[in-house]
Amino acid sequence: MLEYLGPISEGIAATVTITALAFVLGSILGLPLLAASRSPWLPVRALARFLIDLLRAVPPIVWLFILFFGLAQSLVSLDAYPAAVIGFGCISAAYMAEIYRAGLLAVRRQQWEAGAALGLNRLQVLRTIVGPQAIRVVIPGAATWAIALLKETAVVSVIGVSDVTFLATSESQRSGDGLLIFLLAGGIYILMSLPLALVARWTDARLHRAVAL
Amino acid sequence: MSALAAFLLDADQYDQLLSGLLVSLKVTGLVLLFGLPLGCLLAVLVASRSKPVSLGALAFVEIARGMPALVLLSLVYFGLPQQGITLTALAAAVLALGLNTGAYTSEIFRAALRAVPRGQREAAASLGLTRLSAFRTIVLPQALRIALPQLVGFSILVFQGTALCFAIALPELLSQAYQIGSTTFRYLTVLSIAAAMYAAIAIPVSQYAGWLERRMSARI
Amino acid sequence: MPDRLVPMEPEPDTGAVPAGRDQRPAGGREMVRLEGVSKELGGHQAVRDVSLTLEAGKVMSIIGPSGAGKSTLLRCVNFLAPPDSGSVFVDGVEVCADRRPGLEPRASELAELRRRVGMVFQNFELFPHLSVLRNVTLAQERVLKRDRADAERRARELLERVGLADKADAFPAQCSGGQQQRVAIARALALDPHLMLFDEPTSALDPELGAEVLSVMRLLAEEGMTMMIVTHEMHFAEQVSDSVVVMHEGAVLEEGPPEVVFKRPVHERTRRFLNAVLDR
Repeated sequence: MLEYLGPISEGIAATVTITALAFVLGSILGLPLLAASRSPWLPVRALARFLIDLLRAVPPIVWLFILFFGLAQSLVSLDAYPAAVIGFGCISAAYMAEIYRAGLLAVRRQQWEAGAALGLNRLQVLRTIVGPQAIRVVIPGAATWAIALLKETAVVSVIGVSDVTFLATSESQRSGDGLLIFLLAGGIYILMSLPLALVARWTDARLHRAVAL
Repeated sequence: MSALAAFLLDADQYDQLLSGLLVSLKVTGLVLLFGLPLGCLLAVLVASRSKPVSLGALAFVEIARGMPALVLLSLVYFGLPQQGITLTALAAAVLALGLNTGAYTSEIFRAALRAVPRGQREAAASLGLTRLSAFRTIVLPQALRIALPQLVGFSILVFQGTALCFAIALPELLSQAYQIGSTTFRYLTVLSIAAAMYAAIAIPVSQYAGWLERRMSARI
Repeated sequence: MPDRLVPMEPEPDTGAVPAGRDQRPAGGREMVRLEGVSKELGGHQAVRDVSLTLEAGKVMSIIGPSGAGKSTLLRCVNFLAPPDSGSVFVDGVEVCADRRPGLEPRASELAELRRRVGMVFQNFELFPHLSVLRNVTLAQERVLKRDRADAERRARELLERVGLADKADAFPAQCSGGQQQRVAIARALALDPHLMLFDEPTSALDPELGAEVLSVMRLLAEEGMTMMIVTHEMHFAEQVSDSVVVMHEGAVLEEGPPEVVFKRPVHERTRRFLNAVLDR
């Protein structure tokens, strides 16, 4: 069992860095996407809405194929690793925009009015009143997305990135002990998601307590 | 419009993509047919009063949910034959994605069962209904109704998950698109058309799920 | 058209006639006897050593401040909240409380008990996914094994009597709170109970809608149904009850006919409670 664990765990670096980079990219790109989806101009709003829906509707593996094989003959041909980060970064942006939106909607509209009544402008209300309340809804949602993202990144193995799944696949072909090897790989993913699961559970419990009060 | 379509790919290639889409939809249907009853069963087992049953079911759910669907699929398709159990690509896809679906939806069912007010069980008991009868006629129908929007939403993920079957050479939509690409070298065109086909199914269904969700919360 | 909520005699075509049906409502016969009933809930003694009796055809109101254990006591009668100790006797069936694993009352004992007892809840608890008619027929078919036609006939009779014949095909969400509670009463009566429990049946209702429910309950009392009612409707309790039980901190503070309890209560605590609720 240990003989397999060594080779597979060399893939942890790729799995974790792709997940982390894509998550950070998505958290940043999600903000302008959210702003656009709430824009007063209908065309901007419609375009943002369409992008969010499209990014989430097409399976991640298909996006990866488009970036990796589709752009291969074009000017901007990408290696597998950057294709994975960019692909999952864009998908994360769509999911994060939705998570941010849920956070904003969870704050009652009267809070905006109460802030305005105190003479604060919209940005000030967002920063000091609505934002801090929304973040409590955003954190558990973001942690849940990060766990899903971690598992989704397994498909980067199909375009040849040496992540946990890729190494497990080649190790299983080499040794013929696929059942054990894929179980080990699954166990590694579960262990990697554990810290995120704790964040999600802890913040979610706090959220429920705060709302109950 | 049709001129543009003809410019992009020829008719045989559209047929090939459509046959792939049909396989994807067929796999989705079979996975739901196997996975949803499994999810309901797991939810009941997790809620069982017997500790070993409850913990066993919970462990199964956490493992089948915790590993990537692609790893589970590889385990079933590549791992089991090495133990002497050989499955066709279709059977492996339905088994692996179905186990994954069962584990995920068991959480949806569990929350829905808990969302049925306790008073409903009490009212059933006060009328003399047995526990089994109360579950079948009072609790389960209400739980299914509560779970419906999320189950519809999850079925989109199942549909998207069928693209993973590329890895086990099942001739679904992505496999067909890739195959056309590898003969014509027009990957971008054919993959974009395949993506549009995924979106054309997933977006309306997810809007339907959202509508169900809003209607449900409006009623409560 | 039947003009009673409670049938005078067993209907010839219903298979299983509950035992004791032919004896009611003989005055003086003991219908309910609680002996030493206690119940702990969430680490606090909700019901302390309560003993009570109620004769057939009589109406008992249970009043007292909130948190006094009134609802818990009522739930002990049909074992929705199984008592920790004591025994419950209803109409010839006695069930002894025991929470020790393996010594708990058998499911068949509880079924016998619950068959004799109907219950009406504060929040109605109609089954929202079933039509009004189906709400009233379901348990008749499943528990009493009546066939669909008999069950529907009985259900329509009862709905007629509670003034809701036209709502038979509606769903609970399409009915007002008062209508829902009247359906809930019909649903319980459909099983021909010998005792009806009412757990604050009007607390969730506006006064106007509550009045519809109280008038149905008054009718039921006049027809000789044995009833135990947890309520905050003091005037109703005073007019309709044969006896009033005042509870405080899980125990029975005093019990007596309404004219005594309401006009000349023995206990200072009862006086303060009545002053507080009647002076509003």
